[in-house]
Amino acid sequence: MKRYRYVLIGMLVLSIIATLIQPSFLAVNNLINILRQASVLLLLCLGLTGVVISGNIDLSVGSVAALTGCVCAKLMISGHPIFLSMLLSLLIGVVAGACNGFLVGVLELPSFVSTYGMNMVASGIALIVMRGGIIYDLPASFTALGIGYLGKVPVPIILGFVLYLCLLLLWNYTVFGRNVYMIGKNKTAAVYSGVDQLGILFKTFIISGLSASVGGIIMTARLNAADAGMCDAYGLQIVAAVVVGGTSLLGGEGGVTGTVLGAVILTIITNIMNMTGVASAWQNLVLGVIIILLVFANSWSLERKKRNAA
Amino acid sequence: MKNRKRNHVFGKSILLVLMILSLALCSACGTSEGGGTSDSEKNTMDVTVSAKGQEVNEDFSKNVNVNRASEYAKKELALPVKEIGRQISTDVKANDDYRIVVMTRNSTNPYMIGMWSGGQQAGKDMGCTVETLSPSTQDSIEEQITIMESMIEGGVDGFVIHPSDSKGIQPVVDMANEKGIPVAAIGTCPDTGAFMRTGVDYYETGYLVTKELCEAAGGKGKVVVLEGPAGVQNMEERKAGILDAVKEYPEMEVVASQTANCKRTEGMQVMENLLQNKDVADGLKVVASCNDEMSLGAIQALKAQNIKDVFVGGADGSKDAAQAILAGDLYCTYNTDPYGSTYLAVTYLVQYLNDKTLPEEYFIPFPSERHDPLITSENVQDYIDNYRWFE
Repeated sequence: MKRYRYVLIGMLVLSIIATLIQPSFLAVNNLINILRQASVLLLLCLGLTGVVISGNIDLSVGSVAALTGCVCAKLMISGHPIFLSMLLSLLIGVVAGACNGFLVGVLELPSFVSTYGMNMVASGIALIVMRGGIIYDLPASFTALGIGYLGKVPVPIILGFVLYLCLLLLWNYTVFGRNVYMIGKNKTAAVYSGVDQLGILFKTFIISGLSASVGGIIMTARLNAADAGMCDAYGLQIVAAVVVGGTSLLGGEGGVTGTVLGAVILTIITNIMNMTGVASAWQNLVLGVIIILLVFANSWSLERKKRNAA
Repeated sequence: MKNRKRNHVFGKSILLVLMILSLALCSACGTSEGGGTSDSEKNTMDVTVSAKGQEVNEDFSKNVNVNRASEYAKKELALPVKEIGRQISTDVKANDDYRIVVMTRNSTNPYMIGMWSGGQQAGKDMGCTVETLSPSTQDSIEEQITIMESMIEGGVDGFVIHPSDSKGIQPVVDMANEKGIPVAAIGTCPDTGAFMRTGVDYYETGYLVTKELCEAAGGKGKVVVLEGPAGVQNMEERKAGILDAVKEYPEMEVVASQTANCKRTEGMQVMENLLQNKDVADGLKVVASCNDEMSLGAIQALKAQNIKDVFVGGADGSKDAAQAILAGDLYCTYNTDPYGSTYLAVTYLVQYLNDKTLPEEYFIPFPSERHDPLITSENVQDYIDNYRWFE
């Protein structure tokens, strides 16, 4: 928990301010609302966390999610069964992840630029598939994934939680997970100790693509519509959520629990601004300042930890 | 030594925290005085409508942008086209195979795609080449500038542009004027130097839609406004129209006005957040949105919370919006006909290139009052069947 203390402090401070200005911030309904909104962002960036831990970056998450949503909607509208449409469109994430793995692992391109290229490729395909249109009115049993409830809990929250648990176990309690951290911390040492670097790269990128695809499908279900630009709003926010959650862009540090906190805190900021009526012109400034503050706190504590260790 | 360094870092971080605190303080002040949630936001827009509008200078660089179209341009001015939407046609023919570029803000919004197809149809009908372009990074003003620069170098005869930013596009519009290339603007316009402006009168779209919504609500209740991106000129114009319409109803009050950046995703999230606030949710009657996409997102949020009897209005008259009106989810929207307005802009450009004919006024709104642009459940079927702009 120590690792996440600054995110938690930030969350606490923001929540206190919000409750003082607008008491209904703490209402159960609003808290569920925040978690539901955060869970879409979370689905998008859970897989990315592994890529970042291994010392790479995946900038294609947003476009892969949008492309998945578009293809899934297109398949359903043209009469394919819902389950099959979802399964086929999930393949997009796998393929995109494998391509990223190939570019970074085999061709040894820097991930920052190659996944940025992949981002353009995916959004380009989405534009061509959709031809500027929007698909609207999807089957009710599909949209239930986005707006439905299981008991009292919205479905996206459950999905987000399940994916989080899976990845938490994967990163923290398997040899594969340990190897990912090892590669992120010290690549040379990892390779000399016989870690299959290529295989790990492929796997982390495929997991990232897959989680992007799941996010894209849930987003489509939530909106009851798909368009090629639907994930533009998330953009680099996806990366910001991971980093705010304490995962270092240099690799080897962090984890999915932090990403959950990061996604929640970014969602809280917007929620508070909407509820307290911060003027539109100020919203970006406020969001930016808080992100900088949180990242600063994280890197400061990391620096201190290193100094103490030395 | 080590200690001193640590102190140094500590001092720096204190400074940073102070800086951020003061920023936060500023923003808090800004919120309380600017209102943000109420109509106290300063409305500096000139909303007076003159009988006759501004004429077009032969030297385009002397043209100055106006926010409102004149009464004459709205109702009487003779247009070189017949009908609107996909029915639009013209008798004008190009004397030469002119090369005209239609540049939009992005290639995902149905409005922008409507501009493309309208421009292409105009080219086919009049016998000239129309190319359609947009930045690969959505709404990137830098890329729009690059596109125009290379087009000017490559030799084009005219532009129809929908800039992402009125100030940012200015230098490259001036550059086109230096080479004598006319630039017609739709939506957001450069402050000076456009050949003409068409597209809708944005203030009026917001005003008419909101008026319709308030009437439907019986002139009583709370209003939520969904704004476009902060600082985008045409969206500010539309917002001003919305706020002015609400002011005419003493028993109606704007309880929240927030940006959702014209996106459906954000429209849904912002609405979800606002509904958590009891002061907003209780007695909410009207959601006036600056475009259809946000209004459709808001409808999703209202539906998910099982809130009924809220009158939601958008603007653009997109395919989904028309479907939503048919389904009874959306109350009304305004047909902004990007297809027809781009067609009209290309027609004016061709006329000018043929024999230097200038448009009668600088701002010729299209569609305008004479086209019955307000779409409700009463005329939506007719709109879809006969004069829609989308495919």
